[in-house]
Amino acid sequence: MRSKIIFIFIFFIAYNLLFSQEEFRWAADAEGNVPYIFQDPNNPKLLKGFEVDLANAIAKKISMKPIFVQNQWDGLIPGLYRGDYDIAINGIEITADRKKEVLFSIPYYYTSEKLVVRSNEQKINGLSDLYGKKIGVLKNSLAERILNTQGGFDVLSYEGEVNAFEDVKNKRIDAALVDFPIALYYTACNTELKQVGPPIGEVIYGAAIRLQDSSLLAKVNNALTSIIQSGELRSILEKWNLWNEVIAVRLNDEKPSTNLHSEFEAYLKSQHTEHNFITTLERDVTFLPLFAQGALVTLGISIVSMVIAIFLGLFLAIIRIFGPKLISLIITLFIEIIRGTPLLIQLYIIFYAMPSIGIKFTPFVAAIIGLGVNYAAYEAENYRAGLFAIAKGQMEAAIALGMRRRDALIFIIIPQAFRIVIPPITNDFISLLKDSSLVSMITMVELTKVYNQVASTYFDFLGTGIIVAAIYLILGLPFIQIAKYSEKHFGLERKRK
Amino acid sequence: MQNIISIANLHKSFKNNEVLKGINLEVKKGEILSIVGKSGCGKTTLLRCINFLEIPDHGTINVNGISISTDDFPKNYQNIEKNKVQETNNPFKSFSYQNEIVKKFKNKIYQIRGNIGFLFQDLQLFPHYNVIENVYKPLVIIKKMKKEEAILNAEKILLKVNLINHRDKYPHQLSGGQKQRVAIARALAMSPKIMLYDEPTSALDPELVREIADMINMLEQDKITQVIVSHDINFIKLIAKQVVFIDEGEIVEMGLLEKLLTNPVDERTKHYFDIFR
Repeated sequence: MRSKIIFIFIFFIAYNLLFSQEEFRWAADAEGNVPYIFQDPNNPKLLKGFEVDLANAIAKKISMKPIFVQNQWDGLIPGLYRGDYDIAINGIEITADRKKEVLFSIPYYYTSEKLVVRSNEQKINGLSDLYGKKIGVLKNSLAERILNTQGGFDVLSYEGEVNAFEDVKNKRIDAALVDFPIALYYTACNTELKQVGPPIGEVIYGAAIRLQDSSLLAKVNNALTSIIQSGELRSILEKWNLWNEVIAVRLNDEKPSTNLHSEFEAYLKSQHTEHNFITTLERDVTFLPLFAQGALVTLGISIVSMVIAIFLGLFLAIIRIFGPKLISLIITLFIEIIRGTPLLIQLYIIFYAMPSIGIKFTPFVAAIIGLGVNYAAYEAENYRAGLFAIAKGQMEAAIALGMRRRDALIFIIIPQAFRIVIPPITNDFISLLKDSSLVSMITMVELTKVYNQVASTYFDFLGTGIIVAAIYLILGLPFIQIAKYSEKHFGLERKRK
Repeated sequence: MQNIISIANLHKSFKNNEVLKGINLEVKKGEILSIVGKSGCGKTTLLRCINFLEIPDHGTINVNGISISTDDFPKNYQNIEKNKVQETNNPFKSFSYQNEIVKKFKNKIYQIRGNIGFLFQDLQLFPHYNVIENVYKPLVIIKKMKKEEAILNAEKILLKVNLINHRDKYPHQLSGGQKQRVAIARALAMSPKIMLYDEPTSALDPELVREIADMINMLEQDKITQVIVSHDINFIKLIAKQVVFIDEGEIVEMGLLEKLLTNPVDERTKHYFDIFR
């Protein structure tokens, strides 16, 4: 116990020495957040967006090195307190509720909510036309609270706005209520969608910082003030076509807006140029390096988790069968709890709840512990079945020869049990490979996360979806072969009676 | 000749079913003894009690001078026995209790088993070992023999049972008769003074019955005491002189095979052997 505390302590110090030195660690969700932060259509490895420009500008002002940290949007505040990053800049609305949880910088953007409906929709011209109808919103957003406060709507909350737009298109819902920038960008490049009605509510974005981090807040506020006064914020916003009358009034900068929307136009162009099958395919091919990276992460997580599962599982099975009654009972309970609860919840607990009792893992470690322990429980049951399948007769044969039980176990039973469980273990590995997509929920950028990011940026769930599905298949293929081979090979030796 | 196995007042029940009801039996050194009887009469249980694959409820067993009586059983044996019943679905646990007395008791059992080779009805060769490994590995594991020495020993025995040409095959590649000889070789490698056979002919083709009978007769030359449980009277005719007839957990009659066949004392014996005449 003491050594554990010392270890955590040393880890903390080392962590701080290595990482907090002059680094401006800022977080956002790069999934489906045009024009906030998204992958550059011309170079998917690069991140673009007005918040990227803003973060870089702030970092420059305070002479720190900007480091981007990916985190899903509704986990941005928990992530702050996990210490994964020091500031979140991602369209977070300044609200009274949130002010209890975090410090907010001075606002860097003012805007409103807008309704988005299908282009051929004639009857909906404002919120009043939507009573009793289905409206999609981003989870935990201001739009969600506005609708719920007003009441009378069927509100569906989504992980990303893009998913809400897809559902509008597919007629699952009638409208989406989203922040203006998103409405602007997605309706501009989607002929199937349009904005309707007047602006609703006022949205004010600020950067979120931990409550105890007032020194960082002061630095950021100074930088923001200077960026606003020098006109740098305005030029960033104009570049992205986000300068509007509200913000002009608020920032007391009422010069007429220019028409130099370079980034906005570049984005539209990238969306409009490719619309036939061949160009889509060509574009999708450029994503392959990105997908390959995600696939490597997926494969890495899966292999490490499986190794943990195989050895921890064997350990659990042996303790369960041979250990003293009480310990065996505890292990049984543990296995049943692990098998009986969703993996996603286990991942959340490991990642978000453990830090509150002083145990903090990096996303990768949390992912392999979550997957590894979960699958260990299944492997333990495989081993147990394997051990029992050969147990009685072989054990008797060994002890009748004069062998001690322990030796019989080591030399006769376990080697055979291992052969029996190889096929189910390889099969489990294939399903682990697929289950590993869940770790995207604890900020790991693996294959499924990359898919979500790319698909929502390019509004192409089908083409990239097929590519990603194919990658999963290819990753699993060698293991399917191993499973087949081992079933055949080890099956033969068992045919003896 | 002196007795190598003595069994006195042996009782064994499974749950409420009393399978052995007070068996008294003496086996002389070097003798071939057959135990016959209807299926379910307790003959296999008796055999399994001799090397403590089944732990008797009551009685005394003496094998080659090592004696275990139920009076030696640890005081908490009854409790242990209760636990054992609950854990019968766990083949590993039946013996996993620990304390000093139990350890001594266990060591005695290991000593007894060291004197006995046991041929299972379904042989139970180790499928992950090839023929030579099946025979030499136990020598290394149990007798802590050096590998080279163990292999040398194993080769001698394989030569004896005429399997040396198959030494590198795995059990699943062998015929029924060959497997049986591997199982015997594996047991003989431990140089037992006693061999116990549980229904050795039940899985064999008729022409192989003579082969195993020849083997048993050959081992008689080596002064190995052999006890065979079987209901195959034609097979027993080839090997045994002494026969014990068991019915419903009791020894009904014993003596020379000729006598039991032609001139049985007990009505039940007469009835059983009637069909073979």
